[in-house]
Amino acid sequence: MTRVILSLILILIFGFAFLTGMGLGVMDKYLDLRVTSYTIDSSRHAINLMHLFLTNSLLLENSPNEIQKLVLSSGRIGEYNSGWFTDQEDILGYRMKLSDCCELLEYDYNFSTSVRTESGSWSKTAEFGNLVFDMESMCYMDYQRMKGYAEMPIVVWSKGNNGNIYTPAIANLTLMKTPLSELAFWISQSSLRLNEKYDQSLIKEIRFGPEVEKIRIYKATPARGIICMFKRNSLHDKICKQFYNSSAEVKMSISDSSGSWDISTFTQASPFEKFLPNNCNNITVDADINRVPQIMLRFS
Amino acid sequence: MSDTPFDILMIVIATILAMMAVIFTVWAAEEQMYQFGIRPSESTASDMAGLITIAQGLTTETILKYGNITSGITYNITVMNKLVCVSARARYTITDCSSYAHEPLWGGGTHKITDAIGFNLVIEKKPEVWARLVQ
Repeated sequence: MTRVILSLILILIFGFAFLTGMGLGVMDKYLDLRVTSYTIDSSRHAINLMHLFLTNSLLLENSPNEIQKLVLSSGRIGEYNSGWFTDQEDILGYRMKLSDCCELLEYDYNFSTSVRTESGSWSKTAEFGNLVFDMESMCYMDYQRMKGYAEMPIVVWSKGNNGNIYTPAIANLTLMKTPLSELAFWISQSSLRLNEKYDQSLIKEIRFGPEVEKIRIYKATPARGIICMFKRNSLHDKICKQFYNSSAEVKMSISDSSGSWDISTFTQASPFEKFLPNNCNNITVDADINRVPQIMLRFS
Repeated sequence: MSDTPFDILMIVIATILAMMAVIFTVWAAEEQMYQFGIRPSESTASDMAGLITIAQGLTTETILKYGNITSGITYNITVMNKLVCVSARARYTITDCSSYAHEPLWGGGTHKITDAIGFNLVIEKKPEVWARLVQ
């Protein structure tokens, strides 16, 4: 009798363990908890950034003595659009204005305004942003395809022949973690975390799809670098983003199958450039503090 | 019918195995909760970064104060280069970073604190955004 009960207990224990393992395996495949976590977090960031755009940004149409909240200038939205697509920091100053005001390391985004047409549908009137990658590619994990949204009613100001025109509209902001934002975010935070000794080592693999044909990296200043990603079959389309090096003691290097180089040797005039094969690619951000604080970007 | 020494040995082994299974499950679940659920470093970093972004959008003079005095958690926090990095040490030490849109000015305080049981982030909009971390 005792043997029967013991056998039953052991069967129950191992059966429970087996079913739990199966359950976790299924959950891991179909229920990525990061999707929920990142969606909530990105929506919070979207609302915060939308608030900044609509209450105190260079997009607003300001009279000399008064800030008109929620009144955006259609011309300025167009000016911002041209600012995203250059790594020339001095072109009309847009790049610096964007970096100082409205760039989140963690996310890339599209901001657009839409007005209601006479037929009742919504028509997009202006937009700027840097979401150009096709994140539907199979190269990306589920959690990388999540989006954060924010939407607000606004007024778009433009100048007409007969004076100012104020048009009721909707502002829409979409945030995503893209390969560019992930790379800039993880390089910057690895540098800070090593410098502050929060971690002994840190490793993060960043995936990107075949739509990225070329990557360009260089140091703009000792504390700041620029990453640009070029779209395949459209090499004039590139998206750039800043990353930060929190301390001169944290060395940054790039390596691939042909060698390893110190990032500080690459400048805007002579950047590191690498063409990528037409399939899924990875960059590993490998940070380590053992001998000297060092961040290695490995292409694979 | 009395139990044989073999039966007693099996009872002891089965009990130990069952207890180990329960303990390992609880440990693993607790670690998973820290990794994906209760993650004070992630929520703190995200809250602080969000407030710094919001503060830039305020148009009147305002003081925002974000406090965290959770007992049993020790914080190391650094805010610089558009990043808030929070390392929270409880049973597990977990570090998370979040980014904000506009760099605040730092006055009357510092941009980092170490080994803080409780802390405040004070943001003053006047009209520039001034921030300070207070332990």
